[in-house]
Amino acid sequence: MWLERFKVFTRTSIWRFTLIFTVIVILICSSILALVYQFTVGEQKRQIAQQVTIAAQGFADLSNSPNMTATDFQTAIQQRIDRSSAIILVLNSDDKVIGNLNSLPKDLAQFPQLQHFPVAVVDHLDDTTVEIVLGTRLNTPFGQLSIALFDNNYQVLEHNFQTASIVALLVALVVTLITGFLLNRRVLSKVKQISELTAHVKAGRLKSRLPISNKQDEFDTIAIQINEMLDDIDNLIASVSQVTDNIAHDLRTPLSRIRISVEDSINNNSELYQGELWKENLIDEIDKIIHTFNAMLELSRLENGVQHKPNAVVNINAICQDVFELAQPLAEEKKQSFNFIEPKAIEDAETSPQILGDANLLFRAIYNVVENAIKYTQEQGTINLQLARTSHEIKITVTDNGPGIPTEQHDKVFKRLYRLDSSRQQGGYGLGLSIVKAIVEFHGGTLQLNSLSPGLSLAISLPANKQLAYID
Amino acid sequence: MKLLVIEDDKATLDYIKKGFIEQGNIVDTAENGPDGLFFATSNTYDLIVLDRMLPKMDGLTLLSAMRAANIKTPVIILSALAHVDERIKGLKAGGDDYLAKPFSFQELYIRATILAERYSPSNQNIGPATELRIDNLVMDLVGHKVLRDGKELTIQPKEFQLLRYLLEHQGQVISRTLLFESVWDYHFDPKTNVIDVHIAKLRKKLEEDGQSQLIHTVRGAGYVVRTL
Repeated sequence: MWLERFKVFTRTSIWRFTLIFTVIVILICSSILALVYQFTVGEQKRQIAQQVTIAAQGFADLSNSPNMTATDFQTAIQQRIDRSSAIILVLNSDDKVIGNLNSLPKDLAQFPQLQHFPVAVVDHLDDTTVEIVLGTRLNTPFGQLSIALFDNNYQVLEHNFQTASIVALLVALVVTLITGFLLNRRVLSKVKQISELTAHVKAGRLKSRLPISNKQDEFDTIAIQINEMLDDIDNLIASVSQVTDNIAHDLRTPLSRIRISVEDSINNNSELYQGELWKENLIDEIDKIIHTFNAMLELSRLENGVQHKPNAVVNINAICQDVFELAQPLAEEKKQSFNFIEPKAIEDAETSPQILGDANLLFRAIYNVVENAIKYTQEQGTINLQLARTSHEIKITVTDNGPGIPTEQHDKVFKRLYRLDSSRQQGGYGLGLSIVKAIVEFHGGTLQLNSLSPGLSLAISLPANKQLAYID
Repeated sequence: MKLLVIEDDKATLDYIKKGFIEQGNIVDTAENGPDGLFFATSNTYDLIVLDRMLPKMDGLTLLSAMRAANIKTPVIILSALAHVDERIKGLKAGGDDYLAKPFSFQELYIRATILAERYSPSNQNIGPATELRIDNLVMDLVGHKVLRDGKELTIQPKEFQLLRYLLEHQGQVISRTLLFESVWDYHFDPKTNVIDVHIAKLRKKLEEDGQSQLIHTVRGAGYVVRTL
C-alpha cells in the first residue's frame, strides 16, 4: 500500500523535476562553498606556508652569509625563539641541540617541501595539548634546522568551514526536497480531482463539476474549461433528448398515417382505395418523412462543420433577385404586396454585395425566410425583402406585417423542430429556421429577430469581403 | 433505348429494370463494380444508371475508369448520399446527373430520357434552335418573344425559361424538381407548390382568349407540353 503510493508519488513529472532541481542546487552550493574556501581558508593556508618558506629562506640566507660562525647562527636562532613563541625552531648541530622543541620527527620534509606534523604543547596550567604545525627541514652548514609555524587558526577555520558547509548543503537538500514534496502533493491532489471527475462522468454522472479555488491559477483555468465543457455536453444531451422526442413526433405522425391507410386498404375494400389518389397521398407522406430526415442530416452537417467551407464568390444581389422571382407568385396568390428593395448604386463594384459562400445554401436560407413570411402573413399583407450593405457587412432583411412571433419566444424558434403552438396545425417541418440559422452561421454571419407592431423582421447579417469587391 | 443498370440492391435493380422494360427499352444489369465496368466497356449503351456504393469497386471509381477508357455514354448516378457536396463529387467524377435515393421511377425515367436524347447522335449536328413551336404557339428565342395565334404575350424572364424548357422537351413529362433545377439552377428541393404556382401563372397567360391547353399536369410526376 505504502509502496504503491510511493511509486505513484515518485512517478510524477514534478517529482523528477524536484530531484533534478535538488541536484542542481547542491552542485551550485558546493561550487560556491569551494570558491569561498579558496578565498578564506585556502588563503590562510597559503599565508602560513608562505611565512614558513620566508622564515626558512631567511635562515638559509643567514647560514650561507660570509663571516657567519656556528655561534652567531645559534645566537640568532636563540634570539628569534625568545622574540616569538609562535615559531618553532630546532637546530640539530653535531655537538648540541638548541630550540624550543625537544624532539623532531626524523623524516621531516626537506626544504622547500612543507609538511604538517603534530606537536605536544604544555600551557601554563601544565595541560598538554596536541597542535598541528607546518614545518620544513633546512640543511645548513651548522646542522639541520627545523622550522615550523603553528597552524591552529587554519585548523579551526577549516573545521568550522566543513561543519558550516555540511549544514548548508543539508539545509538546501531538505528545503528543495520538502518544496518538491509539497508541490508534488498539490499537483497530485489536483490531478486526482480531475481523474475522479472523469471517472464520474464516465460512469454517467454528468452533473459532477470540479471545485474552483480563488487563486485563479492554471489549475483553475483547466477546471473552469472542463466545467464549461461539461456544461456544454450537458446542454447538448438535454437538447438531443428534446430533439429526439420531437423527431419521434414528426416522423411518427406521418408513419402512423401511412400505416393506418395501408392497413385500412387491406381490410376495407371501399371505393376510397379504388383509384390512384390514396397511393399518391401515401407517397406524399413518405416524401415528408424523407424531407424531414434529409433536413435533419443537413443540419447536423452544417452544425458540425463537416461540409467544405464556402469558397466561391457569390453575388448576394443575384441570389435575392432569384428568391424574389421564385417566391413572387406565392405572394400574388395571397394578394400580398411583395417588394424587393435593392441597395442603390449596385453597379459600383465597391458596393456590389459579394461574399465567399455557397450559393445553393444562401439561396435556400433566404428563400426559407421569405417563404415563411408569405406563409404566416395574412392575405393582402406586405412583405419586404431588403438588401443593404455597410462597410463590413451585408444585411438581408425580411419584414412582414403578419402576426409576428412573441418576443419571449424569439430564442426558441431557432431550435430544431421547435414550432410555435399556434402554428403546429399549419404543418411545416419545424426545421426551417434552424437550417437558416445553421447556414448563416456556417457563413460566419448572424441572425436577428425583431418584433414590429404589427409583424416581424428577420435580419441576416453576413460579413462582407472587402477584398472581393475589387475583383470584378 | 439500350441501358445498363449497375446496382447491388436486387429490389431496386428489379424495380428500375421493370420500369424501363415496360417503357419499351432494352436493359442490361450488373450487380457489382467489376461486372459493371466489363459491360460498360464491352457494349454500347445509350445510358448508364450507376449506383454509388457497389461491392468490389466503388461507383465513382468505376465511373472514372470508364471515362479514362474514353467511353462517353451519359451516366446518371444514384446515391443515398444526398448532399450537394456529394453531388459535386459525383459530377466531377464524370457523371451527367445525380439522383438521391429514395427516388421515384418517374423522376429517373424523365432524367434518363432527357439525357439520352441530348447525347443521341441524331441530335449532335443540329445547331441551336432559333424558334420553338407547338400548335399555334411560337417562341422566338432570338427576339425573346412568345406569340399565341399571332398575338404577343407579356411573359416574364423566368416564365420564358420555364416555357422554353418545356417546349424543348415537348411530349416528355418533366418533374417539378427538374424544372426547378433547370430554370433556377439551384440544387435543393423547395418542397412547396411554388413550381405549380409558376406553371399556373404561365398556363393562364397561354390560355388567354379561350386558347387550348398546352401544359398538362401528370399526376404524381410533373408536367408535359403537348397539343390535345
